[in-house]
Amino acid sequence: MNERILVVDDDSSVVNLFITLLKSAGYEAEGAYGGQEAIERLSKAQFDVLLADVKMPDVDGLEVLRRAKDLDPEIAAVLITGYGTMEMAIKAMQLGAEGFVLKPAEVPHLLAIVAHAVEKRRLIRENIRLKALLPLFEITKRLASEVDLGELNELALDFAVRETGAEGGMVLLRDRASPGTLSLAAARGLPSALKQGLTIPVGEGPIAQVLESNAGRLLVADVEPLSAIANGTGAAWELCVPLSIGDRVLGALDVWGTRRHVLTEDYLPLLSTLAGQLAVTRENALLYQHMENMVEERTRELRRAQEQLLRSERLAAIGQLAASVAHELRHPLGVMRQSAYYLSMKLQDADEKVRKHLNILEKEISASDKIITDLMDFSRVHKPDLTLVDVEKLVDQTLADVETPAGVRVVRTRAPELPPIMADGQQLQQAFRNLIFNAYQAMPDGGTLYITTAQVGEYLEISFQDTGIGIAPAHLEHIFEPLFTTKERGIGLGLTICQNIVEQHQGTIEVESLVGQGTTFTIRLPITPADWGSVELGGAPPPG
Amino acid sequence: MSVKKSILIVDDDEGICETLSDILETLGYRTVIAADGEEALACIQKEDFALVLMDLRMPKMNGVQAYREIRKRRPTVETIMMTAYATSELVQEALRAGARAVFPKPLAMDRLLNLIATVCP
Repeated sequence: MNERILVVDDDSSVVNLFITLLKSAGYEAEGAYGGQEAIERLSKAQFDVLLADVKMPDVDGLEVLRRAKDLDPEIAAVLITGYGTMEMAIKAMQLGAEGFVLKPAEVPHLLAIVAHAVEKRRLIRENIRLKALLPLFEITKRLASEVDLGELNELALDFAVRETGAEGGMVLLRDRASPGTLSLAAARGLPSALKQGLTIPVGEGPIAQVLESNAGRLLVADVEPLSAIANGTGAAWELCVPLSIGDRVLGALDVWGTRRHVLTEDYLPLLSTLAGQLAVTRENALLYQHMENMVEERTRELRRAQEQLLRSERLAAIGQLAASVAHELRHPLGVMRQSAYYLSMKLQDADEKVRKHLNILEKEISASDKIITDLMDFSRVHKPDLTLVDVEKLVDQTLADVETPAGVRVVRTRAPELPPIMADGQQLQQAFRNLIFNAYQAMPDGGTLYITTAQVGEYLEISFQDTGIGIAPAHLEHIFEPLFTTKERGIGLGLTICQNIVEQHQGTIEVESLVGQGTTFTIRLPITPADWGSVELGGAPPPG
Repeated sequence: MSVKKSILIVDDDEGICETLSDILETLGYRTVIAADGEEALACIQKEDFALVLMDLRMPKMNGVQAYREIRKRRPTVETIMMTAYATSELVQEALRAGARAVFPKPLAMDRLLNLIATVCP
């Protein structure tokens, strides 16, 4: 890029001569034929070097220099004077002039001084670029450590606004759902009406061109129209760079300011680098999030597997203990039961108190026996002994075996025609018995137990719905765990046994409950189990 | 109450034997208790029982073995087996060998007594 030089002299022949000389030396030169005209031109366009006569009738060279430095502090200036005074020289230096050319000027001398000024200007520009590297390095580090997508946009925008001396800016992202619109991902210096999250059509403006060409642009208000948003803030310049990775343009980073004197074009490479960083980091963050989700999912799976393992280990340990304890207790309990039976026979005509105590004995022995039975069942859930069974009949038989408490009504609803399934009838009865028993216990003040059978696709569904006290949500997720119980008496194996049996049949058991309204257990059993060979044995082997 | 038929109770658990014996005797049966298969055989030699009520699992000789020995000596004797392990293969074996029934322990007394009343009225 050739440096632009503005030559200012009230003598047009001097201006034309200098322009010719400078152009032949490879510069871009323009002329102004008076101080006032020079100031006007400086305020409209950007020049690298000002070459101005000191003595001019309207506005003198020193004033032009002062105004030029106001507009662009980095402009290089050389003053031309026919007579040099120390006072003038000092003032010029104070104002930031790089050198003097004495009239009549010798061509080599003039070119040397201009070259020197141009070099200084280059160094200043170079310095801007270098100065920007350090914060860019900083921002890159911060971007790399940030994984929050929204925060990334904010960081990058803050940096862009600060480093370019802008007054406003925004990060715009292409909307994946609707390609024709951009969403405002971050914004600075915008009226509060333009809130974040706002979507704007890509349209035809300069931002659209940046997205289209995947190349950054510097826009100057007097030369070409700014984007509608920047224009709305009264900006004088606007820098817009694409957020892109290779050919993929994700959006744009846009900043603007009202003061023209800033060397805005030099920030294009800086902003482009930043925007590239932001785009890459965004992609990384998205990838990171995706990975994090995958890791989380995997962790959940592992935890589930671990819990499963823990559960089965715990089950096996309980199973062994259960087998020996139940074995030891069952005999004495059986003797007690027979002993009580004998006493009942003998004391049929005894007084009420005696018979009450005999009843207590029998009832408590039965309750103890139920615990023993649970333990035995639990330790004996083995591979199902499969025969063709009629589930309806099994439910009915189980219902008949368990005494229905007073105040409880049982409502049986049958599927029109339930196919027989391959299952272990005894085990299924065990499972049904536990659910019926639980339902009765949940309705101490009476209620209704609805037992419903149905065929749902390839499954038989048997649901046990009671109108009892319900299960607290905090307990609900634990009820199938061995040894979990909310009952005063009971060891918490009933539902574990149910679950084991159902799972041995490759079925599922689910529970729904509302405190105060009741609980529904639903068993689903496959009509044709997929592969019995893969069923694993649970619990301890049957004793003896 | 007139003396009904004799029943031999065979179980290594003394409590079971004693309580069963008392219950059956209350109902008018005569009972003899044996602690294992060998004792049971000795009793069979001495006396003709209408029914043998025997545990399937006992030391020295299991219930099925003992039952086979008893049948050699008394082909017509009725036998009801008792067991704490309803699913064991012994149950099937006992039924195949000719046992009248196999009762799981703990014994459902009403049902057991009903069957006994049928077998030896």
